[in-house]
Amino acid sequence: MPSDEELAAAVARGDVDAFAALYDRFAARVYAWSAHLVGPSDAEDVVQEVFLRLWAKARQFDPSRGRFVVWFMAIARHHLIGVAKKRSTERRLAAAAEIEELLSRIVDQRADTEGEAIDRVRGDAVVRALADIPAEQRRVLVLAYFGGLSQSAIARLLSEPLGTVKKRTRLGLQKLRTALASIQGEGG
Amino acid sequence: MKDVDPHDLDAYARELATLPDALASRSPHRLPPELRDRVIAAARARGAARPRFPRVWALASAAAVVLLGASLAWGLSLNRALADERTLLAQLAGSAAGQETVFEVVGAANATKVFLRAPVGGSGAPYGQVFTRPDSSQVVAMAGRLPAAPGGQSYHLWLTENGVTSLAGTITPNESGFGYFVFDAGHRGPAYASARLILQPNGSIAPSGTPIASFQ
Repeated sequence: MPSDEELAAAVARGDVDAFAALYDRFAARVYAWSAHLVGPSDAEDVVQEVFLRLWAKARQFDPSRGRFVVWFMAIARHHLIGVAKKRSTERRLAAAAEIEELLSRIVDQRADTEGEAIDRVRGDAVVRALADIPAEQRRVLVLAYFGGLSQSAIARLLSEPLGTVKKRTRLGLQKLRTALASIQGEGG
Repeated sequence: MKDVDPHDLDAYARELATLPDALASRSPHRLPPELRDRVIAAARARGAARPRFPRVWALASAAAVVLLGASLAWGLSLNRALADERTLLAQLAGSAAGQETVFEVVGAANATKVFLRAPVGGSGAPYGQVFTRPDSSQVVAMAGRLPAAPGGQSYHLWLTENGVTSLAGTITPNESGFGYFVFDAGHRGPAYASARLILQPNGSIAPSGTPIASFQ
């Protein structure tokens, strides 16, 4: 099976089959995120625009600078947050909070079942990593990343001092990195 | 452990890029299957249009230069050279017309599309789309997941506009169950009140039977 990076190189040469393969690998992620943040009706347009940007910009992807998923999700996030910012701040806050609540529920559910069932499906390494992050740190990460919220906005939302939010963000990011590295190390 | 600017999520882009996978794996929002064809068709439209048009116009320009130079060199009139250039351009456009029309309609920013759905839905149900443009009479119709048509039959697309129903064309699906055709509506910006895709004997002159997919 070709890697994401190999497929991206093929897309840069105009290979539609490679483009379709990358769509199959990543479209669900972009759609789910978009559906939560801007609603299912606009999510289809977001997915289409993000993948058309991939189609147009694939030549700009340089595998020596990092993995495809990082490059692609940055494109997706940039476009999606841009769309979301056209909505009211309250709506974006509510949507980001909904994502945070869903991920928290996932982590809690995993804890309840000791991960046995959940560990079988995709995304579990990340869920395991999230489970290793204290809830208050996880919350600021999710609000900032998925909702594109500034730390000031998060501080207002959570009624916490800005310094506290900054500290939680820093610690949360560091723990996410450590947890993912640890899990990847387990996987070989 | 290196301390970073807490504002800088970019420094942790590698780790953060994994989060959407966790969300997608548990989110109740599921990717609509029909979106795949739409996105790929749009990419084809953009991808095909970019290299082809410059190539066509480059060829046309080169031909014009050659014709003009030849006309001067051989003492032909400028009018004759321009006439030849127009003829050459028409021939070039004609040779690429089949595919380009599809992309010009489907990929247009102002394209309007209607979806044809099966009476009984489901992930494997046939479906179709009809694309129109307000500034064009060209219409693109396509359908997917069509069962193979029995011998002597094909899928007939009946469109109704201003109370008049007419046969737009027929689709014989390929081995993947996909087929499309382009037709001229006769006027710009057609707007259809209904569309029905029906499996009928070849040569049918009126809609008959249950549509395999329709739009009302």
